Amino acid sequence: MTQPGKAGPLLRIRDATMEFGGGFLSSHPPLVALDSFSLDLHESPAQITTIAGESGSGKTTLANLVLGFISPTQGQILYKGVDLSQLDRKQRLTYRQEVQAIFQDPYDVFNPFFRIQHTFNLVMRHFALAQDKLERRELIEDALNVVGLRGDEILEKYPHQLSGGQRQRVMVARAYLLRPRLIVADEPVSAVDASLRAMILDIMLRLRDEHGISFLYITHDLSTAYQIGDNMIVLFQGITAETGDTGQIIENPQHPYVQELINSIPVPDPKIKWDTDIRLPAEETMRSQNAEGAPRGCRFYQRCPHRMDICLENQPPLIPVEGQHAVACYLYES
Amino acid sequence: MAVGQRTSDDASAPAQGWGLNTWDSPWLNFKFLLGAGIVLLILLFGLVGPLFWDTDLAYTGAGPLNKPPVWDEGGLPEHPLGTESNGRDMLAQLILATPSSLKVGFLAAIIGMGIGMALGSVAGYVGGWWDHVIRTLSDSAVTIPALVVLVVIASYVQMTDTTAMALILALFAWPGPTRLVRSQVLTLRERSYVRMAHLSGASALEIMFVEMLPNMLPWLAASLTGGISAAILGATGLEVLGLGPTRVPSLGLIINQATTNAALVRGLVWWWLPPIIILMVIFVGFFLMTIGLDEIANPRIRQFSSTRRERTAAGELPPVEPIEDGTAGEEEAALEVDDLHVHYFTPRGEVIAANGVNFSVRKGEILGLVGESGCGKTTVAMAILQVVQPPGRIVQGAVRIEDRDLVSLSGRDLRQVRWRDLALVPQGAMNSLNPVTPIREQMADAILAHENIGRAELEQRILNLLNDVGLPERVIDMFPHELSGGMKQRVCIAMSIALNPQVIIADEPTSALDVVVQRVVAQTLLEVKERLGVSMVMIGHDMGLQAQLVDRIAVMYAGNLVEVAPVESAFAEPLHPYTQLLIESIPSIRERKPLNVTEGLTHDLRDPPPGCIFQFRCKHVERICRERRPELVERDDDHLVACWLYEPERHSLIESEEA
Amino acid sequence: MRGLTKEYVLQRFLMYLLTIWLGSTLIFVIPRLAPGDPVSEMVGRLSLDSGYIENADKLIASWKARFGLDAPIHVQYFRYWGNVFRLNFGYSLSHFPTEAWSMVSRALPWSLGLLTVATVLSFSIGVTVGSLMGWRRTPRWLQMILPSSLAFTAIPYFMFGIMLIYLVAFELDWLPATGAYSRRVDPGWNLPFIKNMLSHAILPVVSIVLTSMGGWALGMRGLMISVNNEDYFLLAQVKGLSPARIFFRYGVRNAILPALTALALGLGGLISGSILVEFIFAYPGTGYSLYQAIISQDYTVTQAIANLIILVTATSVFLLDLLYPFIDPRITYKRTMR
Ligand SMILES: Nc1ncnc2c1ncn2[C@@H]1O[C@H](COP(=O)(O)OP(=O)(O)OP(=O)(O)O)[C@@H](O)[C@H]1O
Ligand code: SF4
Ligand code: SF4
Ligand SMILES: [Mg+2]
Repeated sequence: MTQPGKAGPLLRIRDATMEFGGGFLSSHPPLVALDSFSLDLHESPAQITTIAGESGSGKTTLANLVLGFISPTQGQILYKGVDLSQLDRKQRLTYRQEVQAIFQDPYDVFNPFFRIQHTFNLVMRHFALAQDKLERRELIEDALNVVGLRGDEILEKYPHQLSGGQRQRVMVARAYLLRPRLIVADEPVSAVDASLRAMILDIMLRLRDEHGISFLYITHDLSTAYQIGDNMIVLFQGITAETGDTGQIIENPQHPYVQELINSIPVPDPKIKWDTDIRLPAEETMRSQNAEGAPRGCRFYQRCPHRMDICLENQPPLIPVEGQHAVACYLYES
Repeated sequence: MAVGQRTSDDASAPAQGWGLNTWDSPWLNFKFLLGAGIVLLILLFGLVGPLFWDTDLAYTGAGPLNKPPVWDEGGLPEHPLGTESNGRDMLAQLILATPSSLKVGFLAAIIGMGIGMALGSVAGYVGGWWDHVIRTLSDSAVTIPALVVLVVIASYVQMTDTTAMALILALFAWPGPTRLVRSQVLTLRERSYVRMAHLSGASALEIMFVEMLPNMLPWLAASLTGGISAAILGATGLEVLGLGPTRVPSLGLIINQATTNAALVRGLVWWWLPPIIILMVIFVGFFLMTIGLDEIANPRIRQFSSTRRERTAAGELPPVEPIEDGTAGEEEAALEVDDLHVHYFTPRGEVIAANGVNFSVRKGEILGLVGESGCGKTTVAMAILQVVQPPGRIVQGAVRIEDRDLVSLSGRDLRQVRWRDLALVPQGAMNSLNPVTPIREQMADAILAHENIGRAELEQRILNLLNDVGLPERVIDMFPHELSGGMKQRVCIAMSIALNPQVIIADEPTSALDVVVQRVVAQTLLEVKERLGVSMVMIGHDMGLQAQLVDRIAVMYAGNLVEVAPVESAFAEPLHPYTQLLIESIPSIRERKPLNVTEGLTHDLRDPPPGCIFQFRCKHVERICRERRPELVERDDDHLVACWLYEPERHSLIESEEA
Repeated sequence: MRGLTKEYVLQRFLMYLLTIWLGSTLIFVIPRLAPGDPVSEMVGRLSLDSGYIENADKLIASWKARFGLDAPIHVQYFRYWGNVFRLNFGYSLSHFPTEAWSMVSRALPWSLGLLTVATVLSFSIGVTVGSLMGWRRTPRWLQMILPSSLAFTAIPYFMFGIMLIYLVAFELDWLPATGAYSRRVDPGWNLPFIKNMLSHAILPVVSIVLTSMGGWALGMRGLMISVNNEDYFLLAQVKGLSPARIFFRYGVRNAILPALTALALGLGGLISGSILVEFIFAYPGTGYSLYQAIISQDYTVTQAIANLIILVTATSVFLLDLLYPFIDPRITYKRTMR
């Protein structure tokens, strides 16, 4: 997915590795949450890039890295060619403006102490978006309209007086206010009810198409990704297992893990019952296994139905199969 | 209010903004206000006293010796509280001493709080080595017996005034607040709204003071009031030992002079008792403030006491009327739920979480119960199991297993039915196992509560059960924290089948699990059901999973059942508009289709509208829908729905009523 | 991963050393930070008390030499640490040929006895009361009377002690007011002495227990309420277990863990408070001896006692810490994973 942008990618992640723990007086080796992850995100055309994976696969770590909450133990994250840690004041401000986020839990994103207004004021003040009160109000109204809300309905309310769907939409409006180039959406719909999910996803699509905003859509739910995503990266225990076009991956998964994952999604049709039987080795689900560092070889080895001896030696590299579609599995080594 | 309302009465969340803007603000806590009032009164006594009383009388030789208070024999009106052995007037002494004791306390505690906030936020916010050092220091500093060190210091350092004293006391006032602020910052740091503020360009200081601080206020205040009384205690302790400032009157010093002059033995009660009483009142005041603030900070404690108060105020609860027609249900029913009403009596109104819920589970079937978050699924499950959490209560209805109404059972009878006939696979498997006992004991508990078997047999039973759900035998000796989520959930399943129950209630048994693990657990459940022929109620919101697992499905909306049907016909031709919406909005992995967006405003559960419960979101709403509630009626073969659309006579119904 | 791990013990042990170091250093440093020096300060006080002292300068100089206070401060500090480590603080000043240490060790058993009994009583009563108060199934009548046990919670021990002396010892004359035993009985393992000793201990113990148990009770109540809301507590009910089993194995067993941490953290405060109690009751423990040493300006004994109390407190906390992993299987896991 490395398309040549006009002036290089908006955001370039190069071999980012993030380790947690280890260190002084610790008997555990560090936990590798993300291992040599690379990704380029371009400003145009606007795209929705899905990062999919199960809990503990490193999705949120990636979001935190991109948002600058943590810095990688190895590797680099470059914003317009400059490492995040090297940004000067001004660059940092534009970076903050251009890379925004919406989070998972619509119950937690508002400070219970303040009215909804506060959320918008904070942004307004720090990015000096408006000259006066009137303009400020106009901008806020405009942003709220994009997500189908009205200012007088919500601005004066406290967070607990809004519904989950409303809160999540307010968060999108807040991000939109800054006219970002990229929004990191960390599980934006997994805490929202089914009937409201479509509304949020639809807003994301509209922001992409009408306002040219790209998304890094982080989720464990492959079906919503399938509905709205353009590109996709599937993580497994911190490793990129498969990457490519969303349609390609979902319709024709190559990595044994991704195949298993897609097979496990329950089909919402009582007439098509699960046919195959999945067994996990008991050891696989033991917590200690995950906590301790990964072995040298393929991390899926324990569960893999196609495992070979070579898989034990090294982590397989990403091997291209077709176009942008690439798989980290020795099965595809020619 | 709107869809997905996890109401603000949820006990674990702050009920609202911490602001002072409403009359049900948590700050209006009786204990806190009472305590604050007491402290203010004492302060006033010290501040206003000098205006009305000549404080010069507090010094040696100002009056006659050892005069009792005016109400005792020999008391003098010019010394209303009497005088002591040096002729000092007690009232004047107390007026001078009280504010100085308070001052030391406030000063030391505020300094300590300041240091604590600085160190604690650095430790929590910056982390790394700073955190390591500060945490270790404060952890060890709290355990040092402060008074010992204070006494030694005071014996060298002549303390001339209260400020010096406060400074020295502050040495021991910082570790508490430091630990508190650190842990608060550590948790708040992870909150989404703090991270949001970060993304909004707020600086670390702004985040600390604007975003975090208001949310820590009740904790900080509790720590401050606790700190003030600790500092006053320390100061008084030193004074009582004669190690405080000797030239300024202080309450401790009066006690010291009284005891060293043997006032106790000599019966000069008016000498030693008044300072003690004032001190006690001060301590009681701060103590009340502290526990009041604890309640403010911790809504659970508040809720616990308020539900108890309400219960005692209302006297005994009226018993639920048993429903007579026990034969109404189907013959093959393993479990019947009959006209179940559950209300939560919250301070802000009655939440109607289950409103006349009616269904039965047939022998050997899995009945799915679906609906969006907050519609009352868990409430129904808890009501079936007779463990509705306060302030909730079953106000009407029956739950029958083998013609026994569980609602009317209690004590021993209820305990016997539980688990033997009716088991639960809980919603939060993560926290459903006792963290401090091994799996063996938790499973044994369930078995031994109902059966009397020997050790060896018990062990074998448990191992077999673990085997049944595909867990290795060594799990038996493990603790919950050593198991992954999927394993814990399987332990819960193993436990639920331990006594071969008739019915298992599974409340979102897989909702916190990854898809692959979810599938393994779901398979386990299916296997268990096939082998034992047990009936199940499977609560969930994932329609895909329901399609895979259940035989019949019951759809719930805002406390009401709106449709009950065999799963095939529910998916093929859903009748109720809400069920249609649910089925249309399932994201598919098979085909890409346009998103189906609906506006979703629902009513407040405390105030259901007359008529159909779904009227605000329904595309087909008609006049009758707003006026009369549709009943759950069989419209098709085994297909029940509560919607006027399927009542051909609906127009004439309402006309006949008007006539 | 269960029980004690090496890292955990090491961590706690370092903490233990740090606590002792911190406490002892405070005692050493603060007086020297203050204007003047300990000896001139003391002599100054002496002259305040007894008017004029001849050759005050000489006296100060010779005392300084005697305590090594003329040496540079870091040398003093190292010597001080030598003393702390060897538990050797030289001779008592006020009772000259007696060693400071032997005076201290005479007082120690009294304090240990008093405090152990008082702490165990107040903690166990408090925890029981609190658990019952925080449990939904506690019988109504018990719920009504339990809060009355909190009546004295806010009152400092020693004030309550004074009131007890006045009421019980002087007015009612039921129990002795002060001391650890009467002059008229022979100390030793004989019945009259033990009876006498116990009767002297009652008031101090009662004044500590009645005033401190409310704190534990309130804390435990809050913890128990949280446990009441835990999923495993609910599951225990659904399992049809007997109320007693639920209360103990699922309720108290979990709620008591943080309470034990609080106990470890609160020991210092408890010991501080008992100093005053000993003073009020003239109970010949370390607290009272500390007071007397200070009154008689016995520099060495003061230091010995203060360091000893710090040592004993830290040791008890350390022991509690070591006990903890056996009660809470998660602890080593959590602390090392962090
Ligand atoms: N302890 C309580 N106090 C007050 N209201 C409560 C309490 N518990 C639940 N409720 C309210 O009762 C209603 C039903 O809640 P319930 O937990 O049964 O929903 P649910 O369908 O299980 O939701 P979820 O899918 O989120 O588990 C909600 O409005 C909820 O806010
Ligand atoms: S590399 Fe080997 S073990 Fe890993 S997924 Fe491919 S075949 Fe399986
Ligand atoms: S009864 Fe009326 S409002 Fe209710 S679902 Fe049916 S058509 Fe819609
Ligand atoms: Mg639920």
